[in-house]
Amino acid sequence: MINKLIWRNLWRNQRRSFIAMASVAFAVLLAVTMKSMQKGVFDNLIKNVVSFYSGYIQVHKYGYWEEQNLDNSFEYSGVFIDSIMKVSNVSGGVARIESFVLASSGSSTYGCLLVGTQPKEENLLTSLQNKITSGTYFSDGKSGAIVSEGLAMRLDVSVNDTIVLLGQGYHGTTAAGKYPISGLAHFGSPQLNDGLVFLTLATAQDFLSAGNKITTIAINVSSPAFLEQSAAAISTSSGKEYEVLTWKNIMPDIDNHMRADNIDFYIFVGVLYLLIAFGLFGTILMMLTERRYELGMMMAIGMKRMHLALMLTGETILISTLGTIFGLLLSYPVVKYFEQHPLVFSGGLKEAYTKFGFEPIWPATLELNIFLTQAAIVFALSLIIGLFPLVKIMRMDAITTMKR
Amino acid sequence: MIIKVAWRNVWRHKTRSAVIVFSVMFGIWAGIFMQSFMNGMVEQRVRTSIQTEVSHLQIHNPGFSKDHDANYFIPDGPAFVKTISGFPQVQSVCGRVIAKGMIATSSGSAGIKINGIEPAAERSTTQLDKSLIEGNYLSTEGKNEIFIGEKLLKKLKLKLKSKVVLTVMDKDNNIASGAFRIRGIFRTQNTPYDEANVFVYGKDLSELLGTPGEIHEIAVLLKSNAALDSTCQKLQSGWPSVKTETWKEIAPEIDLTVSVANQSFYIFMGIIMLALAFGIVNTMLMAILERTREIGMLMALGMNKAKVFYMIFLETLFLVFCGTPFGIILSLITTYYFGKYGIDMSGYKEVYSSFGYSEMIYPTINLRDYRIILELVVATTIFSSLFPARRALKLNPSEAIRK
Repeated sequence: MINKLIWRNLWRNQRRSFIAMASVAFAVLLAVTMKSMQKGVFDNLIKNVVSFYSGYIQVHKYGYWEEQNLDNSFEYSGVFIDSIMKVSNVSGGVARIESFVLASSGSSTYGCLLVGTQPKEENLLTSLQNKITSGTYFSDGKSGAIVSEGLAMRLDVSVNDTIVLLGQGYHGTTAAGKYPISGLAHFGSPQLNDGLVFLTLATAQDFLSAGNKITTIAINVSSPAFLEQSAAAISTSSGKEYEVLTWKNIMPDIDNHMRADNIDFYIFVGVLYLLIAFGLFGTILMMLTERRYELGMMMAIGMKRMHLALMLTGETILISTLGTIFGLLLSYPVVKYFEQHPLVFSGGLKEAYTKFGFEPIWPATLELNIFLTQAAIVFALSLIIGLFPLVKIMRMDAITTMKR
Repeated sequence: MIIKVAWRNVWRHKTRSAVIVFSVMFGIWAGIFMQSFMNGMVEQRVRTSIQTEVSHLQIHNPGFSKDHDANYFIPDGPAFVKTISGFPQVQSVCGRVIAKGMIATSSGSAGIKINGIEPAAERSTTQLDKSLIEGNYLSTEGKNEIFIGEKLLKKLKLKLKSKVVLTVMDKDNNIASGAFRIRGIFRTQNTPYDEANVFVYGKDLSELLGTPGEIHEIAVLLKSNAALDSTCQKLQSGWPSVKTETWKEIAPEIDLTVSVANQSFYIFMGIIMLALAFGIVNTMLMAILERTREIGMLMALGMNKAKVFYMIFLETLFLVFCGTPFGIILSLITTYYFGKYGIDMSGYKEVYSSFGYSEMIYPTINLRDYRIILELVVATTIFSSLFPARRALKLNPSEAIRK
């Protein structure tokens, strides 16, 4: 009986139900959009930062991160790398040998990071080829070096000049060699731009007398949302001899920065929820006023307050549920749109972004989790606010309410 | 007449009016509070970076930043430092001898930036002594002592009182080395910085470089950021032979953080304004629904559509203007209160302090932001009042009256 009443009430005054549902739906839409935008800006930042150099995940021999030298390197093994590539969500990887060396040309000498890498895989991971500003990317059979622009400027060298690399090879041997520069690369981050030299893996191993050893496997994932799971899976499959680090371990300062921003964001979200709650409250309040007469009448003809309360609760649940569902349906295309057509920065901000090697865009992140949590929060809010009429009903006097 | 009706309508249904007045008040408060929170946050971050790392202004020899060559020192540096410290806008000045070099021990070596400092001036300019975690900060009379970052220390497997060898290129491009004993260990929030920088006495380093008494960098801390551009211009025009740069040029990433924060703020603010608008629209739509009969009656009695529209619009307008002063007062009180006592984010202390931010945020707002937000909120609310007024026009008197 009450169920029937609830259902009929909902359809009797369609405009009213529609307004109430719309207010819930918009609340869901706004909350989802806000969270997706915020997640989007972070995800994009991470994507940019890891594609500078590090990759999302790195595998080293256990202990390398604490003590970065060639004694903590490990033997290159195609089987091992294949086993990592088979882990789900892993989309690519590159084997590198890294060592700090001195680069010199003429009378100037600077410390830099020498990276021996696999040209094809490196390009898939960090698009190194796109970063080349003059000269060419690694070409087959040549042992040329790619030097970061800042370093080249300091050394006062350009393409086809020769640089001398000096350093400590495997087991403390002295490593020295000279290499023609085949290309210069621009990196957004000043730190990288001022101190990177790339050689092919084989050339670098030869230079460092390191046989077929590598220090690092840098890995990309296709879905950053499952980063931790993928890292854990790689860790299990590779065993205790290796350490598996995510970008959060590799660049803790960026992780912290984001966490700090995330906390500040809670204040914004808090304000949004409060405004949403206010909007919902206003709507429910007016709905109740509109139905005063009707409710008073039902009481007068003998409906128990309990039943009336039950009926209103049912309506609230129904309206909230439908509103939330509509909200979800509405927000999907909006978020999808902003994911595919991100906001583009212009003017000074665009310049600043590009200078640091970031794409000057702001995409939204399409993630089921965001939809569910935000919808749940708004649903809960609307249920709580929907309980307000019950309080009113308990105090309602049939006679006075029926007076127009 | 219409004005009077609209005004009376406001007071007829007090709860409804209260809800809208509250929404408006809350919207204004939320906007201003968030802007001031944002300002406080950004200011705190910029201040942290300026006061502990870059300082407001830095002065170099024009050739120095490209090529850290020992010969590119600032002519008459120490005297220049004295002159600048006499400026009324200046809080503190310090000169530094700078060299790129290698640090070497038996267990390894690393490329670093060696900062030769004057301990007392450095302390008052960048509070370097505050990052000390073990041992002692550099004293004034010591010799060949080094202040080293914890990260680098661990990397090279060193400990307090260990000896290290610093190698630099001197002014004639010869390799010069010197042995230094570790006096203190520091840790800042910026781990890469700790790994790449060490501090020694300026005197020791300038002797090693073969340029005794000369300095390569002057860092100037001002009393207030407001004097930034004027002081910079004064230095640039008075001493054109050296390069004076502000923190915005030296550390553009700080400025980037600020503009990104501002940009995201406007987008979030837009979303929040939408929430406010929908709240008001829905409440007013419901209010119209409730008064269907009454409005129908007015129409049946011969009130024309323009007047009905006008009436509803005016009513919303009154509500908005009733809410505005409350919103202003509330936001003034909260920004004043929190501006004075700060918002305690210490629940997240770990995250904040790991990045060098203090856990207290002091919201501030300037008059211009205040005005913009106020206009924005009032415009939003007025705009949203148009919808219900339009809705009322669509009523059919004969149907409406039957309700």
